[in-house]
Amino acid sequence: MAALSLPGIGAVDQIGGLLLQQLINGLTIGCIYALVALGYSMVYGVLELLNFAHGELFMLGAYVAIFILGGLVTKGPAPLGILIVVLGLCLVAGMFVSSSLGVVIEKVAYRPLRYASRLAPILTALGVSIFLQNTTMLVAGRRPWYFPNIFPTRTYTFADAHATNLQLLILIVAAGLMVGLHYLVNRTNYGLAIRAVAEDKDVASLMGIDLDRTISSVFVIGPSLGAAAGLLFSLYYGVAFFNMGFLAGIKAFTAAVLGGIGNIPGAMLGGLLLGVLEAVGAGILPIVSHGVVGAEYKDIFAFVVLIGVLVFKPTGLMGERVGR
Amino acid sequence: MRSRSWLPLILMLLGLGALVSGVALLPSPAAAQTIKIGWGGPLTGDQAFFGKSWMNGAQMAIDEVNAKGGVLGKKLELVPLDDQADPKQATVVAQRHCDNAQVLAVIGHFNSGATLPAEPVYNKCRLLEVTNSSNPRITQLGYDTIFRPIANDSMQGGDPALYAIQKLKVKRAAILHDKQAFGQGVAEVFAKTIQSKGATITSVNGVTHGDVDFTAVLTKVKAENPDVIYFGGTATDGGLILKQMRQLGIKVPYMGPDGLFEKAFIDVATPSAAEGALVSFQAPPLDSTPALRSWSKDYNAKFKEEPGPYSPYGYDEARVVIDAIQRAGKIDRDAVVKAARTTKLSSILVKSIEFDEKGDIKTPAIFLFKVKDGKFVLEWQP
Repeated sequence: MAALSLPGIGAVDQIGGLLLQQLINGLTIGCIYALVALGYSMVYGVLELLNFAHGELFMLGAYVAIFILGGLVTKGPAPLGILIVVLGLCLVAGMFVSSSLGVVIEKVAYRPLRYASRLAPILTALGVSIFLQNTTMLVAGRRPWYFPNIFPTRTYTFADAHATNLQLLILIVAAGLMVGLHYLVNRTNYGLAIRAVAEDKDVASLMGIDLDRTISSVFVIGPSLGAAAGLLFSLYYGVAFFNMGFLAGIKAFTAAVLGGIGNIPGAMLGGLLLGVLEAVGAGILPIVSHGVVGAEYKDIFAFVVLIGVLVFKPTGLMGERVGR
Repeated sequence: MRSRSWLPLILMLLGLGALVSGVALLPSPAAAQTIKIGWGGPLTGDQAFFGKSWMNGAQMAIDEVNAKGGVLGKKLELVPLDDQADPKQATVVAQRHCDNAQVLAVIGHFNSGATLPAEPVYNKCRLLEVTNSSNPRITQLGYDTIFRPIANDSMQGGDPALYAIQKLKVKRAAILHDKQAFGQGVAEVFAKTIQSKGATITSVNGVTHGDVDFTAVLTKVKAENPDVIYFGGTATDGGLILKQMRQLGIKVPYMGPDGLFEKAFIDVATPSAAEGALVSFQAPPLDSTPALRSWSKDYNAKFKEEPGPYSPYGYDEARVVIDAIQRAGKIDRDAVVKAARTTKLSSILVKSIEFDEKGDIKTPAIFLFKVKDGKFVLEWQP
């Protein structure tokens, strides 16, 4: 299928092939960032709180999935039908654990501080994050957990670029969840309540909306998406480790800020953009700098973007707030 | 200014106090009933498995000698201290062994990063240190107290390069490393050796230790069209790189150092992607000779588990220490160091254990393993 590759000479050709490959890789990781970013954004939209423990709920999704798979699947590849059922089970279990924990965290760490200064809940969020990370380290150990090798990897090649069936699966699951979320927020009464609370807590509560319940529902939805992202992440890379939520959380936070924090379509766009930017940037950097700056600097893209957006367009690409 | 001027005085007083109490508490070494052998290595943290199984090997040698009545009429006792594979902690461990007057020699440390800062501490208190760390610099710092009965990274990087040239007919090699003392060091030796034999290095790439996505650097490496990819680093990074390499359709051979000689490497990479990967290690397979087979059986009976990758080296290193104490003939740290210099021991791993003037083993061994059906199988021996 090399016929599709662009005609060109030397480095231009090299960059052309690389771009397509990195676009595929970037979209995959971008989907995961987007799912995590949605959790950040929704909580911020409703409470104006940065839930720094969100990265840890992402991490727990991965651990729960591996824990269940370790118990269910001991031997190699199984029939595809069973695999999908098992994976679906892991997904539901991970979402359940993370969202239950999300609700508990909100009750214990954020609700008592709802009317305190904005700094206080951010500090408890950091505290919860550190607590969850270290508890996981003590319970599950410092060594990474390995995702059981249950998926026979299939690679599709087009125009010199490769995509695996795993990447495809991640795209489909992420897209499905995002469409589901869009429906939930815009077409249901739950969604209406969430949007109302995001716009004005006091008026919404005067209109008969149960504030605590609505906020709790946000802490069910956000961590559920985070847990799903955690499962996809560990399925894709094959590992889960106790501090994986930190970097993923910061990247997702950046994605949320990039799209406009509090804005649901913004979080999706921000996640995808950040993933692609990072992958393409890391691929091109060593070529244009002639090897002086290597691909190991890929993490700086997220932080450069974060600083850039905060300085030049603090409301992000699509503006703030869930409600608008 | 006023408050600052107190600090040196307090420190001096503290130091003086420590000195006086240290001298006062020092027990007369000859009066002790046992001879203590210090041990320093990781017992917690992500290297704990290596450290513990390595220590078990040493314990085995000590128990064997004790069963025969001990050395110089005394029983031997291992004093293990955990360095958590952390350079800072290693110096603390070293100082504690130094301060324990009953400790006559030390087996340690496991990680190069831990041995390097601990070395001068042991040297100052004249403790014999038998190490398992492979960084070449360890024996080049001029300390006469350190001995290493295991191959260093000059061999570990060099010999696989020769294999790549001779057996794989490599013309173009791409190098990756994790920018750590061990990984970068061994990758540089590999690159230098393969270059001196006429192959081209297409690129040398650092990656971030602990990262999970290496597709960017691998996509770039793929475009360079190498015949082999060498990664200097440890198991999780190495496994992920191999897995993502195969996913990107890079089919060339993959090589790496002993940091990858661990089941976790195959688990992370997945057995199908790991198939054919080449990993160097300092010990032959445990079932390759009758001596090793019976040794592993004893180990298994004693600890109820399979020996770890470095257990037989722990055993050998303890034997070096015991032999030196035996030949020194007295409870004296300096005499033990002197005796170690003239070591001549048989071994279950290498031809014989003898040291050159720097303290490196004269006849080191390196073995190249290939992953086959999810297991390491001996492929080549220089």
